[in-house]
Amino acid sequence: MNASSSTTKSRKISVIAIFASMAIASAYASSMIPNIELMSFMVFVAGYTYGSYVGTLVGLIAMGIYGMWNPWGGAVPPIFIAQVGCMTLIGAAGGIANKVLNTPDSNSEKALGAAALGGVLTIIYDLITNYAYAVAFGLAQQFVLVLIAGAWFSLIHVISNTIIFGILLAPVSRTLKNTLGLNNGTVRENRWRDEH
Amino acid sequence: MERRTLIAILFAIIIVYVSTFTVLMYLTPQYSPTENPQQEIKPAYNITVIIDYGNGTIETFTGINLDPPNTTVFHALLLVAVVEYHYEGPYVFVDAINDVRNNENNNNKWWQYWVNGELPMIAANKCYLNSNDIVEWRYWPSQFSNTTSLNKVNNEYIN
Repeated sequence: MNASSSTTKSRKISVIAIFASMAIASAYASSMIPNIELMSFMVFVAGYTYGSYVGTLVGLIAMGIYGMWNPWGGAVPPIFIAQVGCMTLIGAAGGIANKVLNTPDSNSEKALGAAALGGVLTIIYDLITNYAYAVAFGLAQQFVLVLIAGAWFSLIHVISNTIIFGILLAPVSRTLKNTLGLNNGTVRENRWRDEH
Repeated sequence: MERRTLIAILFAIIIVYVSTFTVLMYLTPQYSPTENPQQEIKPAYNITVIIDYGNGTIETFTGINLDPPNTTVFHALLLVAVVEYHYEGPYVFVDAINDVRNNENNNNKWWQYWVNGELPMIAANKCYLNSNDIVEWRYWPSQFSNTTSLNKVNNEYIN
């Protein structure tokens, strides 16, 4: 392993750690607002900005930690596995979304695409975690009733994430790229720092 | 597939999901957070409320009578204890009963309720009682971290 690839790997690890921290911090910050959360957005941004590999790991670490230690208590195994699995999926989806959305087209179309992805990913997350809840508490036969009982929360979750993804994805990913100086795992040297 | 088509399909999925569950919430009021004026709410007499503090102390209140529309588990509790609570949307969330708080000192114990030995899937202010129902409020370890032991406790309690 040469020095350059070692440096790139170190930076990638740092980026994963930074994003995982931000995702956990954002989850704690929004934990008192029922069903409005920023973790999935932060994990998606990690994937969108630095690729599926980074996004997947950020989702795994962030939800792995938050799922066990959060203000509401740790999750039972089926729910925990579903939460972590879904969050890694969201991170991976961020990387794929970059290829679909990150084109020179109009910003409004990108925002619409991000909003649609945010909404659908949240629907997938809610369906899977609700099913895990039903399984965990012996209610798999009444899965539809479990969905209806949680529908109010799910609707808030889906609509809020649709709005959050649509409004924030482009500016946040752009700002983070500029600040952290990495793009999809490629090192971008900080010329100003090197020259001063 | 063209990107615009893909975005349109994704939005269609969101709209279908939101519409479907909005309609289902209104069609199944017993599971939905919305009030249903068509639902007949009967008086609930001779209700028993048991408060189990999880440390061996159990308080039992019998002969509680509730008149419509205030015939929920939450209303019964308000009559027999000092309750701290907040609302999450239309759902009430009980924070403390008689100064015993949820997750006090990170003990992972939370107030949960059972009606006639069964764990309802709805908030206390949406669970309407019938005459002679027995409501048990238990300060137990969170279901979300100790399912096995809770199920064991439930089975023992019910049997």
